[in-house]
Amino acid sequence: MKTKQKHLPLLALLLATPFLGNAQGILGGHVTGNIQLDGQISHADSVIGAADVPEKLLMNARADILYTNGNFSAGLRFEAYQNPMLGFNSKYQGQGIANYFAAYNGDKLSVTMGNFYEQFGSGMILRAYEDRYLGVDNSLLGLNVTLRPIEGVTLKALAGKQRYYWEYGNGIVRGIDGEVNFNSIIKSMAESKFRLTMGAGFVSKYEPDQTISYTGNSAFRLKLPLNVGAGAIRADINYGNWSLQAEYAHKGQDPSIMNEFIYREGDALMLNATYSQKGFSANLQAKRVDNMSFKSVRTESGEMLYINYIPAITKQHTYAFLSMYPYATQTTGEMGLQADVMYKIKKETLLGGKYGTDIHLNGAIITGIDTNRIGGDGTLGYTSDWFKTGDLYYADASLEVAKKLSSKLKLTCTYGYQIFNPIVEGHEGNLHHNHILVGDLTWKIDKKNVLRFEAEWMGSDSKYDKNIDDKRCGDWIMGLVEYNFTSAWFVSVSDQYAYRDGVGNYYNISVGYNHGATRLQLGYGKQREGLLCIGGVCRQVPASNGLTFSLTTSF
Amino acid sequence: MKTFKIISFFIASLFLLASCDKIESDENGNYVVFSGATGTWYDSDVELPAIQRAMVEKYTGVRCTNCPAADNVIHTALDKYDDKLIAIAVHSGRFGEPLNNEADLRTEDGTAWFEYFGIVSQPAAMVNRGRSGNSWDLFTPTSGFDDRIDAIVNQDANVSMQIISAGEENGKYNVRIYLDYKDVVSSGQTLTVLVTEDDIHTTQRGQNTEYTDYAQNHVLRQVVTDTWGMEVSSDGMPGTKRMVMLSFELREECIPQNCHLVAFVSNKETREIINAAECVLQ
Repeated sequence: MKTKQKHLPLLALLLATPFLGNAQGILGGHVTGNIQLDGQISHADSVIGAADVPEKLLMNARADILYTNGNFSAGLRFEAYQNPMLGFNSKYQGQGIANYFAAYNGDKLSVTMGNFYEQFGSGMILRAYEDRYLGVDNSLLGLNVTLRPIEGVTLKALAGKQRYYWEYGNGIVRGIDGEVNFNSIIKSMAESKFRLTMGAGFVSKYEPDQTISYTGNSAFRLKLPLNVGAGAIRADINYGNWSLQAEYAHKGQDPSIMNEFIYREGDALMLNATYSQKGFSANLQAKRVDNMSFKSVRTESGEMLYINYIPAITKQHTYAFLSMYPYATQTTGEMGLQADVMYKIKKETLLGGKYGTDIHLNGAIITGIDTNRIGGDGTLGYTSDWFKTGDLYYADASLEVAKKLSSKLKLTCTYGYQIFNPIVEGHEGNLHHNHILVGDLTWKIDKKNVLRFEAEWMGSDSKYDKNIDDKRCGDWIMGLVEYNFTSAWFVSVSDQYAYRDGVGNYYNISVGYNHGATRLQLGYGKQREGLLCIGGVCRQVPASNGLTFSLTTSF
Repeated sequence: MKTFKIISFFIASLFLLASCDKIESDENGNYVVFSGATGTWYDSDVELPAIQRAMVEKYTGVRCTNCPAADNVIHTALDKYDDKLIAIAVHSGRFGEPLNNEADLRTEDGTAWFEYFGIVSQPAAMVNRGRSGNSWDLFTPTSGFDDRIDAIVNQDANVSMQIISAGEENGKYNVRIYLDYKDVVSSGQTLTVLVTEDDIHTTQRGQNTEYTDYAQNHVLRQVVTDTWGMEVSSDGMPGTKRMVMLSFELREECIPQNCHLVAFVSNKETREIINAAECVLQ
């Protein structure tokens, strides 16, 4: 069993500092925290491809503890993976203090020492974040300083190494960012409807040289850049009901396993325009990404050690079939457009009825970028016409209509159409074209009892093929009944069944209990293998068959 | 003022951070460095155009009164044939003895060739160390010799060559030589790599005159390989591509920016030059 306790003495010192320096700090400070425990018992199931789990029981647990005293705070996170649940990297196996920090947060100055999370702009050159459900933690261990010399001006500087499971990556990440809100620093603009914020950042990573053979000739190795820089500029403009966010990022030569060790420089552009007024909003997003995978270790291909994050512009669906084919952002190259319109039909109209009707229309299309290959590793790799698109990766359109039928009944109906190219998940095969229908009826029986019914159908032109083994293929139906009673308990029963050209019957039952900040949930059923994606970042979830339980609480 | 200082500090930090590395590619567009042992032959993926070059090898000296005239003829030929003709000037023999206590431009390797090829008068020249019957095809290059050059450069190359000066590292220059076999070469081959230097100013005797500041060009300064070259490791079959890297210290008296690297592949038995290549020393 791996136990990580080397940071404990340091942590104890950090926590003790306020007590040693000022006895009154003991009384003035307070401790908060949260605990999460997830467990899984899974048995083999040859139909869905679930493997037997030798340990019988798998468990992920974590506890965040935060001590705050005035401007000072310190915290730690204990994590235990005994052993990691299915789908989480086995390198997490072990337990110990995964995260610790001490911070000062003043009006003009904030300093964090230890592990910290940070983001510059939309994250295209730096986003240190964690997502426990994805098993991603790109926290930096080092120093993070934020200055606010005058109102409306924020300057950030940081340096550190990224977490790599229970260790830290070799690369050193250094970054600086500045943001100016012109409405704050120019008095004449203070009350203006025109709001302008601009920012710029630069991130550099250093990694020692290493021998990476040139596949074209064994006599040569790649001449590696030890310092790789990425810079970005951004603007946030608002005028009345209109807003526009724009960010452009550029990255220097960064040969890595992610881009097959080519020397082409990378760039990315994000545009986001919104119009909103009462009862109506429209949003249009566009992006182009070319060779923007940016990791602090050039040979790391997994989910860890990303310095940056390329925002997703596809809708994060919540219904099961709509989210069966999530889109994973292609950091090596993609172009995309998304349009999103929400409209509320007013009450007391023909279509609005007594309570009004919400209409939500969304569409997105993502393609590859046009590339002309000029070589493999050790070369520029390819050239690309900036305005030409490559293969279609993903497209979806959905229309959601939500209507309150009475004071107790609410119906939401959704139609979705998706085109999915399996190449984005590294598979060959034809495009999948899916039609999806969802009906969601919520019945508020009384103040403490709610019953929800959900019915879904998906028709697809994909057929299950043993050689490819994509268990999402085929036509599906699903039903779900969820009952919340006494405001504390809930029980849910669902089943997904591939009735044509597919395989699998995935039933689930779960029971939960909420009390204050504590939630306990117990589930039994089958989980289909696939991708779990949050914000375009995904992890592979293997099939499982058995019991899951979860406990979360905060104090 | 305090705010100004803080912002200045951040801007200065920005420039400091901005010093990210920019890697330059080599002539083939590859971002690679040699990682093997020098002098070892490797397979190559570099395809070369089938250019057949000729090398004129002039045996000369500062006391040779007809040599300036030969220099003019060779200069004219170089203008005409451009990169298809390579010239080296081998200062050698008694005519090569320095004047006025100036630097001796003769070399041990040049002297070895001078003696081997049996040079008895200067200027004397050979193109690709060719033969005329049973003798070396030596001639006096004070008049045109285009026919000898044409006979070579108008042929298809059996072996294409490229020489790349791959920079200086720890006082040593790296040089890479690529061979691309276009046709069968059944004999064994040797590779010779040498350094020439331009613009060496010396006294030079001429016809009824003595030049006090004569610019000597293409002067053989050192042979990087053995005098008679190193063995080429190749099966000599069409499609075979080989490369080798050599590392050497440049003679102290040489001015690097005036130097060129010359490489030629010879028939191991006959010593006839099969093809040659040249590049600027970098």
